[in-house]
Amino acid sequence: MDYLINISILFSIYAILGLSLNLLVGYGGLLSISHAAFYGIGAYTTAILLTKTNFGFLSSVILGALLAGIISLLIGLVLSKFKGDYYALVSLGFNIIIFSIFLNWQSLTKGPFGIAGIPKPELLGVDFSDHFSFLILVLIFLALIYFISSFIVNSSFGRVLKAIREDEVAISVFGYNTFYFKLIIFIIAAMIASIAGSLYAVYISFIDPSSFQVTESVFILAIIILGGLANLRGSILGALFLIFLPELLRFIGFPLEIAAQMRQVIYGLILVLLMIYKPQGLIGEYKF
Amino acid sequence: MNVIPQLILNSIIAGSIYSLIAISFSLIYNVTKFFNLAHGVLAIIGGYTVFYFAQILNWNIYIAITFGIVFAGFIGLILDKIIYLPLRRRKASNMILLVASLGIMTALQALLSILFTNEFRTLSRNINEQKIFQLLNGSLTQTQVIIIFVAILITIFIVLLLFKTQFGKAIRAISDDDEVAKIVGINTDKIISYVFFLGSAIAGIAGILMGFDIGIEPTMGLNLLLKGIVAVIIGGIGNVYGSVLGAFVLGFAENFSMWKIAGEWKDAVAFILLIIFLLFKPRGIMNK
Amino acid sequence: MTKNLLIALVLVIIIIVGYFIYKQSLSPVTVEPVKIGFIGPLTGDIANIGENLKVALEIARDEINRAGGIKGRQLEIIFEDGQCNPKVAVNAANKLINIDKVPIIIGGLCSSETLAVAPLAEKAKVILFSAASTNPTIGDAGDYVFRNVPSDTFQGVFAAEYVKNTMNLTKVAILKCLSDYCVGVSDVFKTKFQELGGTIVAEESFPQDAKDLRSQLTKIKAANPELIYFVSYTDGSIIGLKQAKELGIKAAFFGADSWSDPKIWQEVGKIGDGALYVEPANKNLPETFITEMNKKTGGKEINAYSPRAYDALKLLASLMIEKGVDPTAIKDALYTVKNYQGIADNYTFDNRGELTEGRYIVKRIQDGKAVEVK
Repeated sequence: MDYLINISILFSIYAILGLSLNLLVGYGGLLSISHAAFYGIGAYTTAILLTKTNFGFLSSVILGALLAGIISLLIGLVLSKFKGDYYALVSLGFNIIIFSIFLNWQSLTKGPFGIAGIPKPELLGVDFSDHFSFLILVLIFLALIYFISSFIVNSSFGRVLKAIREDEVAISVFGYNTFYFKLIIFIIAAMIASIAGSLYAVYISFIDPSSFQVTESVFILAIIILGGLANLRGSILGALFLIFLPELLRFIGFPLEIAAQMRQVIYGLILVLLMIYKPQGLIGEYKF
Repeated sequence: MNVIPQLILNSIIAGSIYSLIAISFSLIYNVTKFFNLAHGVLAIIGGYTVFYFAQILNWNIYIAITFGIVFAGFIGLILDKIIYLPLRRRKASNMILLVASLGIMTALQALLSILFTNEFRTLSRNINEQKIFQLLNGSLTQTQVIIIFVAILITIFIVLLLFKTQFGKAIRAISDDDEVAKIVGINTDKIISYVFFLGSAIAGIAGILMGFDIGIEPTMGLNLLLKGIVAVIIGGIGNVYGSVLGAFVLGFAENFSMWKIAGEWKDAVAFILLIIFLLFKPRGIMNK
Repeated sequence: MTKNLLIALVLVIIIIVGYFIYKQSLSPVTVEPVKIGFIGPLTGDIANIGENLKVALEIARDEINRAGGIKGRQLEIIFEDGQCNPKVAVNAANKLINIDKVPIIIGGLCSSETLAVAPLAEKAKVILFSAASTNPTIGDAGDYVFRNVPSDTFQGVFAAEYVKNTMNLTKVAILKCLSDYCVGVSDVFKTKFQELGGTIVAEESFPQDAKDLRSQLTKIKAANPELIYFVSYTDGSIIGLKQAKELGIKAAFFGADSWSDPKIWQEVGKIGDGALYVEPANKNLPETFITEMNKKTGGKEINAYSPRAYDALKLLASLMIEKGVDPTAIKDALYTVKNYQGIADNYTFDNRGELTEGRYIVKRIQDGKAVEVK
């Protein structure tokens, strides 16, 4: 039972990540391979604040999101100069640069040693130490983020975004400042990813830079492509598949090290097969 | 100041390896116009093939090397035939191809981990017998001399190929405009598949050389590839000389910055260079 | 239509997974065994040492069970792979603590594993007992954290004194991996060495899994040290020693206890000859233990920690027989242990769960084998 709760917590965190990236890639049409960086910013902000200061969990989440917002603003400005696969390449470059900062700014992040002993959150007097109550907390966050994303997507902002994705030149003719829309969605996606990071940090109690590399960004991308781009339920579906399915592998009896690698083989294959046969994913509405 | 001769030598060695990856990546990019992120894994496949035949099956080392190179080329060819070609026929966007290559990279890397474990392997067996040359206060091993030699040879080979043969002419035609190339009767699909074979084989050579010099492990591919991409962009996309120049600029920048900055920032240096060039000199040093 | 099909498919998968878990929890139990956990590298860079410890623990466990187990209950060890990686170790600890519900974890092996797991063990009131982690800060890592291997506060000082006073060298360069263990002992070495009047002419570091140390070695070479204090796990050591030779570095090499892994010297061959390192001094091991180890490992060398792991298990078992399996009771009992006679050493714990002294020997590599320097 405890095992199921643990997997569900991971699933929820990745569902949040998927939703946020989908806003950017699926609705915004911007192929970004840098999401793990913002995930990491949230995680490190929470980790540092909770282990070194008196800040509470919620404040660390907000501060993390703010920090992610500022950094994504700067990165987004640079990215706005690029399109398509160059956009992807530069975003990948930023992922690596931020990873390097996690790794090397040791006085702040303790670099490769990582930060251990991150305490579980305490909100409104409730201690979320046991996994079941933590799962409820994460699910609440997930529901909130889902509603926010839904709101964005169905609003006029979301409509313009989709129009930009389909034909940027046409919509700019109408007087819409496309640069502004693309930047805003990048920032929003980054901030939500940061929230997922804060949740991850307190869940796993130990973080180090290795969780925030390019491979993680690729994994989140796989989730939303599998589930379906430009479909919020798709992101949840994708996370469900890519988190629960590999656990089945373990039950079938693959030894632990091989199971982890088999997972990767499967993600890779899924990506390739999707690109060939169903680029819009399982229930997606957009394909690049 | 007696560090400088060694730094120069280290830069030349790094530049040589990078130029092999850069040239081969550039070749493939020029004819297909997408970022093949799976390219780095092919280098590592070359290395592991040699490892398997030379150290596990105990074949003669020269035969193993030949096999490794050919096998890497072969895998590249197959990837083109079963994945990239069908996608190109369907007029898939660059981003789809990029994501597909991401999937391939993830799957192949994990496959190598399963087959050979993540343990770091060296291809050279008798380190005690490595000849070491002293050059103006710096040291160079026999393997490293070979690396520099091979880089020069391959560069000359590719230049001759591109500018002195019919095959090369066809490649350049496709690079310029593949629609027109088709119209004038060039079998673009066939030429592209040969380019994949050639490019992947050269990547394999790079991986094998690295295996002898330092060693290989499954996850090195992405890092190596990214350095190659940085080199290509610095030097100017579409230009063979540019790729080589970019590779050496990168090699020198990395190694000389290590003099004053701590070693762990090496990768970040490469990407900061990438972003600076993309922002200010996107066509690279040698404009096409 | 397809959407509903998919949701149904997903639900089916969840039900299947749930069923397996349910089935597992129903497995019949006779007399429940006492389960304790182990975390250490069973794959990866230092798997050699991890495997060796595992064998020693198995020998101890079998002896305990033959003698009647823990008051009639069989002792079982759940071995988890830490890979000398704190993230992996934390996952393993989560599983052992929350799912297997063990009262004791023997581990980690690497200091980074132990330091990452300590807060978890402390919070869950589970004993974390390491037979190999030597980083100085482990002493303050928690009330429930113990170790029967001396802290590097002793090793670093011993090494510094040996280099300065016995070898009479004053210009030393430090090359260390970026891991709790490497940094911990080299910092102690540096402080003591400078205190004794020596000079650190260069200090370079590299990520634990770095494959290329040439930049660092180039800078060290330029500083012209008499000796390089090189602290690294197995892979890094092999790479560093090889590349140092390639760069023409003539300085002597002096390592820490991580160099007791014979794999390093097998891999580097002649290059390693003359290298020195420090390791904890153990008593002469009993013949029976040596024979058992040789039988089970096929003649592999017994490293300095395996006998301590054996001792750890024997000590903890005796306390469990006396006080039961409640971790708090065992923990309180551990603090009162005075001069427990193990096969490797005699143990007394101070109020931080640390050994009160550390004794070391220096070994030199000759023809690929480590020989004690008298």
